[in-house]
Amino acid sequence: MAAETGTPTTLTLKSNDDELFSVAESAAILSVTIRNMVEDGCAGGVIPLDNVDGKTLASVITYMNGISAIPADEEKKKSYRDKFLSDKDFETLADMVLAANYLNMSCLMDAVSAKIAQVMEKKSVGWVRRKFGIENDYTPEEEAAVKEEHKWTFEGVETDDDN
Amino acid sequence: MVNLPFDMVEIILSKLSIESLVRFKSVCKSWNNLISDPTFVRNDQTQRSKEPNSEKLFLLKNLLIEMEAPYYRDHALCFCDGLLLLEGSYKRVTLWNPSTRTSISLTIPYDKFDLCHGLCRDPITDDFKVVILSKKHYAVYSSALGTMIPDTFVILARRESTQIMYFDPRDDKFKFLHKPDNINSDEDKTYYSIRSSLDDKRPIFLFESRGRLCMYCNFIDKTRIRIWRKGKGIDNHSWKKLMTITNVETSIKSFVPQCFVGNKLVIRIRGKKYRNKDDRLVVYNTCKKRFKEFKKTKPVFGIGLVPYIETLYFPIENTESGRKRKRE
Repeated sequence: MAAETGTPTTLTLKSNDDELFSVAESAAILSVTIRNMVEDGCAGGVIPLDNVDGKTLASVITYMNGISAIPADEEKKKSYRDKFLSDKDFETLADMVLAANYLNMSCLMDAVSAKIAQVMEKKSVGWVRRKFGIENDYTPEEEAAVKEEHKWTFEGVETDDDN
Repeated sequence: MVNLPFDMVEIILSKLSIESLVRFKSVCKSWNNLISDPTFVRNDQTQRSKEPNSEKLFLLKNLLIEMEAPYYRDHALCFCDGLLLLEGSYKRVTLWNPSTRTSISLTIPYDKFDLCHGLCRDPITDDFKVVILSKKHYAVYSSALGTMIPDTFVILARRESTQIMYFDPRDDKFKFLHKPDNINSDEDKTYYSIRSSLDDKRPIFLFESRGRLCMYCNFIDKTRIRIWRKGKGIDNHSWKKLMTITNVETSIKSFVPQCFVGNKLVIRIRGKKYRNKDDRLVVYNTCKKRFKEFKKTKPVFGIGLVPYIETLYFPIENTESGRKRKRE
């Protein structure tokens, strides 16, 4: 086997829109889902990832390569994660959190969900409803009552930037 | 727009600030139900208390209108799990969560003078209790009984005492807590024989840090103060030496530890003036063994400084009707 001769093993991952990606096994096994496949010996050919699109997978692979190149230094890993996520918008982050969940990558899952929370922090209720695709199921009276009860939390809210 | 599964929404919400969580109760009914759910609240509290800088210092002033403290002349009596007990008007105390700004006023059966107060939570039933102790009597209000009643230890020691008494929320009884053995064990050997006989009479002082009871007392030379911390849990009566503070220049009675921030201990030095007008704050660096003044502490009228943790937790559900009921 390749690993025994010292050549790094490469895996081929396929997104749900049929894009193919090569990634070093050592980086790919950050995903517990992929690691299990490798350990079960079913990572020989192409690994189909039915829940991840090409754009998101490319991003996840960039992350896998980046983070696995950093030696065991939690501080440096954290600053890499912060930098990696800094320019991502809400939709990209939401796709990544789904991918991280499907691929079972707890460190990415934690970092992305924290980033989403950070993005949501000063946002309005309307913004959150639109971004999460949530229908307002309150009657106008109920909504007014809930808002009135927690009036002070609406003080520092930003003006929506998505209209 | 992205449709995230609800369990992932829950993970994301658990990373928001309390202020945003409370605001997002208005998003829809299912979010409101989740954010109000006692299991979510409890998990959230556990999670937040594990974060390295979860313990914050909260400056409570008199006339704290901008923070919307429930009453004008509030003075923090004690704290537990992110909740503060404030002194209210005549024969009243207020239980207040500063991070959600929820509060409830309770009537107490005694005059305000010379009372000891404690807050605690029964670790098994989760019943939250407010304990008020006067010279001869005590009253316990329990959230479970609804009649309006930390680590679950209540600190009920007066400023200067030689024994520690605590309230056990499981059977509502007061009990004595053993002090650490040989309080002076590694002081100068020549003093040892004299000192150890005095162990039982030496005044001890208490404070709470991260839900754990801490005890401190000074050495014979008065320039050193040693701090112990009690083991976790009501029945764990073991003590561990936490640190020895050297170069102490003030009397131990004016030395009031507030909380740990990393390896630093924030201490309030009580002044002599009426209503704490000249109290100040210092920081003791445990590595460098040095004190440093807080740069911007001006004397604050009636300063009250309490550590708290952000939490959604409040033991009484409907505070509005609760408040009305109490006022009647």
